[in-house]
Amino acid sequence: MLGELFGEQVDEVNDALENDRNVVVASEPFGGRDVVVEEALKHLDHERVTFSSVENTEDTDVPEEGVCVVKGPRYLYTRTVDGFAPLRRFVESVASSDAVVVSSWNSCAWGYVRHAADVDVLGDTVDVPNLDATETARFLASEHDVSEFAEDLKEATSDDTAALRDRLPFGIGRLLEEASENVFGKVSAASGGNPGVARTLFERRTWDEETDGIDLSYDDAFTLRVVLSKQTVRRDVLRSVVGDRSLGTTLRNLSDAGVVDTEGGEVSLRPERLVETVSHLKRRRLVW
Amino acid sequence: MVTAPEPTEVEPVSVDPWTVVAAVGVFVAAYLVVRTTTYALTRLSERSVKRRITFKMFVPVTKFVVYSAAVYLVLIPLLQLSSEQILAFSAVFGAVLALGVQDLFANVVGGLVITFERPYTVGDKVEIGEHYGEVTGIGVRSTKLVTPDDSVVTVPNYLLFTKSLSNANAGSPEMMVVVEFHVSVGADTDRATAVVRDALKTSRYVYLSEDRPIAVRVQDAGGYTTLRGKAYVNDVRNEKPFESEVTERVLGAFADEGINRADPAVVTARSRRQE
Repeated sequence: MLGELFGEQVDEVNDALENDRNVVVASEPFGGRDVVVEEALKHLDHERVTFSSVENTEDTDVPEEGVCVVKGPRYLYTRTVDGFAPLRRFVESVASSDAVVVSSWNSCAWGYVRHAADVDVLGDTVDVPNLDATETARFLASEHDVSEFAEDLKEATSDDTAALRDRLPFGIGRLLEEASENVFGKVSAASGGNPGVARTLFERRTWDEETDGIDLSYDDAFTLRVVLSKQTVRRDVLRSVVGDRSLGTTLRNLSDAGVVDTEGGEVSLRPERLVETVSHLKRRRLVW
Repeated sequence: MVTAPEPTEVEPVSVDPWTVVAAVGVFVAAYLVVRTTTYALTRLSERSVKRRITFKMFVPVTKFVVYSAAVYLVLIPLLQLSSEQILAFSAVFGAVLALGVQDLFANVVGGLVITFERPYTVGDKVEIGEHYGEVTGIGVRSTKLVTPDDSVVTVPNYLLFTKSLSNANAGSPEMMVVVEFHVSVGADTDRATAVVRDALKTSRYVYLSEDRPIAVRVQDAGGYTTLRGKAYVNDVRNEKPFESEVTERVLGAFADEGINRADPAVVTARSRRQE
């Protein structure tokens, strides 16, 4: 279903592939970029290069020819002196290869990297948009048993007012969704149309959960920004970026604010708080 | 024979206690409106770094409009001055100006120019004459700056006409910051440049966009090499933390990698010569 909803972006990736052009597919964390990539490549032979952590970036080579999908390139840099060396090696490898490279980026990382490093060789960017309320409802209905919300689903997917609401400017539509009693409207508003976040909210039935808002010091907000870029990051990597002095306190603050989970030496972004996290970091000008 | 025109009789202004109370009431109300609006605009501005300066820009305008309206209300409807009385008032006002409050008047005119021409606004980082800091308030008579050492400097508005003015961000939330490093002649300049570049772009305070790139300039200073790193901070208030963070990380990396810094005595001597 998501592949259908992102049909336009899939077509853009296919167009790049047909013309032997590298392409970047970018979305918010949990925003469905991998679905776009998979959908575009489902009938094509391709190789995969996956970076699953900052430590796992020694081999940055891409194949000499063919089509190559690169997942997790956000782990190729850290915000330290010399922290861009793996990304530089990767870019050089892409530049010297005849392969068509499709790289899948977290847009919060990509928005920073494309200004911080010379990555033009990775190609144009296909931005994966967030879903509107009707699309969110259709997406959730395709993945879950929503029989208990049948009336809400009918209203969200067929009512003309829903379509009208999606066209309202200045986020007024989202405000109306928040105020509505329709479950799908609420999920859409709380998730900002991010499919991964919508899924989490729906599965945990937390679309109505009130939160206290996020109030962080600048250093804590910067640490959150690093976690947002990586989605999951090891503590020692965070320590190398933000320093050792107050990392414990910072992680406690972030955990208490409900924006990250800390488990087994790893720090992960909590999807259900993504909208507030991004909004907070944009206000602080840590995300542009 | 030419006869001089009869001097016009100006009726004395009768001020009863009620008029005085009303005038005081108008000024108190104006003061409260200004304080409330300033508070509201300040709170609003702190909700978003991007729009901080836009909101604060309205503070001096509000002050000017509200106080002008208050003066108008007191002079015209309350005192009910006739055109002759206004003329007489103007003559007295002119004489008073000539007698000794021209500085005050110049400050007020400077305040008007600052309000409407906006060479700087609240939130900007400016250098007026020898004073440098963030503009925290623009009043009718003076401008308040907070220096990097957290001192509040009150700069008379008329300095705008007599001193040079430099505005580092001109209403934008971000501003360029330049950080300088000096390395010895034999040092690996390429590596030193890469270190400075990395420290700039990975700073927690940096702001990057197509219009706001970073740059490192290498300059032979005669006896040592100067590296001037330029980057934008995401908020003018982060200027000094940015300088401090970048300096700390660059010097740490220089020490780790054996990049020799220039002899401070040589750098100081050259700087003095240049001054």
